[in-house]
Amino acid sequence: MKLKLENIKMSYPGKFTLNADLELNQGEFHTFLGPSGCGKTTLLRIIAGFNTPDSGRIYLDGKDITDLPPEKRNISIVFQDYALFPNMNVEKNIGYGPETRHWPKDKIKTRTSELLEAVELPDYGKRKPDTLSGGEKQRVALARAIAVNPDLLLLDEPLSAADEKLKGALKAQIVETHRKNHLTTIYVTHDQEEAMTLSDRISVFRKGNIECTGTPQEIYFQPKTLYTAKFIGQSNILKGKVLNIGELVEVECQNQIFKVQNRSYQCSAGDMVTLFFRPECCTASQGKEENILLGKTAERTFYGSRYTCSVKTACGIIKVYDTYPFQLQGADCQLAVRPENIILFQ
Amino acid sequence: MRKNRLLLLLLFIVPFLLLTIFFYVPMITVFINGFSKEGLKAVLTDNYCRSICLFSLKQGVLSTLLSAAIGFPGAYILARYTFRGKGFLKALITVPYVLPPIAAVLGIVLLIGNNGIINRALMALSGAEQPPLHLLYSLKAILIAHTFYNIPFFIRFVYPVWENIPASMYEAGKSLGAGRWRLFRTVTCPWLLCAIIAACALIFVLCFMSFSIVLVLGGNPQYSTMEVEIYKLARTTSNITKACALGGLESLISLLFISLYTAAGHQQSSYPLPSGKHGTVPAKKLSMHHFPALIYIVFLLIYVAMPMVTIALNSFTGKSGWNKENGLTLKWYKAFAQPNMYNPVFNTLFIAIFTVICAIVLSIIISAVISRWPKGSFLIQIFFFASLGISSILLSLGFMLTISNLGFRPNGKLLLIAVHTAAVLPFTIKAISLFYSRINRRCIECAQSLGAKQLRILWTVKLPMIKNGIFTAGIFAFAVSAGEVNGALMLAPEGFTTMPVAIYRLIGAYRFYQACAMGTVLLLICIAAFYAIDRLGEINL
Repeated sequence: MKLKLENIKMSYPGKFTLNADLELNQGEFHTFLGPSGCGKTTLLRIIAGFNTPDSGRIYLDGKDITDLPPEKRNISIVFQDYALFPNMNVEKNIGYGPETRHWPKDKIKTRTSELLEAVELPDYGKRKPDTLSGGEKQRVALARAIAVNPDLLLLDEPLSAADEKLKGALKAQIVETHRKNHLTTIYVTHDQEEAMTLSDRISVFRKGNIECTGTPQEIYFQPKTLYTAKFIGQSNILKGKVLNIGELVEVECQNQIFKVQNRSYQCSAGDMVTLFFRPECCTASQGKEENILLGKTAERTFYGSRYTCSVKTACGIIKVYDTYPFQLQGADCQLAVRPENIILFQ
Repeated sequence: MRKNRLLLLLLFIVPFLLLTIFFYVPMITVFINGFSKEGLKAVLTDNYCRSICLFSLKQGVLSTLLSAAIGFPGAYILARYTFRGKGFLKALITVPYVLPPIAAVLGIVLLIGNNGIINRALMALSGAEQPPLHLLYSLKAILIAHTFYNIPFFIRFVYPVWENIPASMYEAGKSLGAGRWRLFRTVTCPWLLCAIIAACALIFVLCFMSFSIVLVLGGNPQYSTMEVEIYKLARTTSNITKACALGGLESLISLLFISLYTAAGHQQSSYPLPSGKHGTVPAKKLSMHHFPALIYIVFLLIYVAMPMVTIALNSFTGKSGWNKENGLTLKWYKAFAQPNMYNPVFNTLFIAIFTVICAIVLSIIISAVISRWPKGSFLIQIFFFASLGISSILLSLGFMLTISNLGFRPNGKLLLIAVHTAAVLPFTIKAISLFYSRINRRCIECAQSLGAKQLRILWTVKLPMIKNGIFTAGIFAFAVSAGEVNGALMLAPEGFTTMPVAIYRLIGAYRFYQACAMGTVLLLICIAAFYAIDRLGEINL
């Protein structure tokens, strides 16, 4: 089902005002990403019908559902703490939605067994939630949510309580469930890695506003705002002055000239701008590239699969990912950044 | 969402109106009468009234201090030691929560009376012809009965707080060089202070407003309290204005202490709970080296169990009247075939069952409102908890006055149910709202998102989640109603006798064995209730 949020507004006096305009395609896996308290869960609750917006409309497949109570929206939700009914066994939990919709008993039974198989808990039907591990609870909550074939599936930080090892297994389960059921899904998280690995598209939230929306690749390599650039991953940010504008924009930064691919920037010579590029876009220079930076390695931090090096250059500290060639602290090095990997912000 | 809130508010009007009609209107009538010029003059210029007020305060303070002093080591032992039978001892000290005062009075009369077990044992040992102890109808008898109730109450109140002092507090103190005494002074005492104040405030109110204990064990007019005097003024001399004035003063004093209890309890609840594997101080195993503790445990067991055991044993003892040879018999139980014995049982069950139904329904609605409107919960609690500081004698007096003003007499049973409901409501609200507040809001939202409407959510999710609270509250309400004598004496219609009233009249007629049989049945009902509460959860006053 397609979801459309039109001019949704909700104010939290003293905190922020939520503003949201968004469209989701059929079967899309969309993530709301942002720090705590930025309004992503509030928007999720508005979509589910638990919170009422001050203004704006919500359309599900063209039908206005803004004034429908949660029980009439056919939107399922999985919470961070799973919220399994403690008084019911696993089977009853999964069958709760179908039973509410007065499905025939044999159909409920078939659906329950089918879902228990799907979440790899075939013998868990009679067990009570308090006898399940965190991962098992999460899978039951997922099965319960999709039992009624919802039009939209909402996942509110479902992995935040899981440890790293379990997260991997649960992520695979969520991907599998989404793939099999082609459900339009909204996933709320503050974890960038989860957002990057699971989503078709991501909306980055900031103080109640959707800062930008795009595919994980777009969000990471071509962020539309400086906030998104800083919020996602690690970044190198430098201040500079525009010298020339042509096919490449020339920016001077502490006597170092950077050539940046022109993406139709609305700036003119003499403007102060901010340059942004990712650490992995810095490579060891062969001496012939456009933007060559000379510096000395200052600090190295080990991250298991890679190092992060801080290189002291004339225009400031530049972060670089590598294993070779900056192994010695204080060693001279030469870096290169390709013009298409640099983004300008005014 | 808004529709649901509106529905809940409309539902809330039911308990609000009921409590207004059945509690606030009668109480305001009492206060208007009592705080009139004539009322206050009648009390303040009467020396007898003044002495009664002073005696009420004196016996309340003494009972509280004795209970706290004797109960303190018990709280320490239960908090810091493990021993075989600890579970039984903990269960035993819960019994007084549900034990009808009239049953305790009966047990104590049989124990410390002139012909009681203790005197007969002393006479047998010393060969004396006269009973050496003359405790009955004195302040001592009142204090014995009050401490019987309130030592366990104090222990039950304080030991969980003591047990839950975070071990990290002691560890931090020790690492800074504090010794045992300094730790006790600087960690334990400040931590327990609020719990002790709250327990003492509540014990004082219970003793200050105690009725049947003082009525039977005080006997002499000089050992009468304000509560007993209100009853006498209203029932025998019909001096209603004076009774109202005394009642008004009594309520002011008790409400003052209830506020102290609430404030101290609120402060206590703000203390952090221990967390983690090593969160609390591990309990030590009690051995023969801890001789004083062992003696204390034996004393506590005897002190709490003896009155109940005495009643049960006497109910199987033959021949009515004192100083006769007794043998084992079931004849007092066979007497339950007579209407004068079985009617009180049915009447008690009738009133108790309806009290439970009313209290539970009202408490569920109020708990739902408290959970949806946490900001207003304090005001709601004050409104519904006010009955905690008002005695049922006074409330019954209020009913009598309101009815006489209105000019018609409603059904006495209905009034009795109303008085009992008002009396238990603070406790049932507390028990149910505790469980209600634990309902995971997300579960309700999940049920909604899965298509369930409010009624289905109530039936399939909320009620199963609070069922233990409902059972605890229901059983507690049942036990309190079954044992309540004050309202029954004041309001019960002609010929309608409940079990506690029947016991009171049997004691008055010196038919102790029959009273014991009735008392044992009442005890069994209450102990069954206590057992069920103990299995299901705890009572948090």
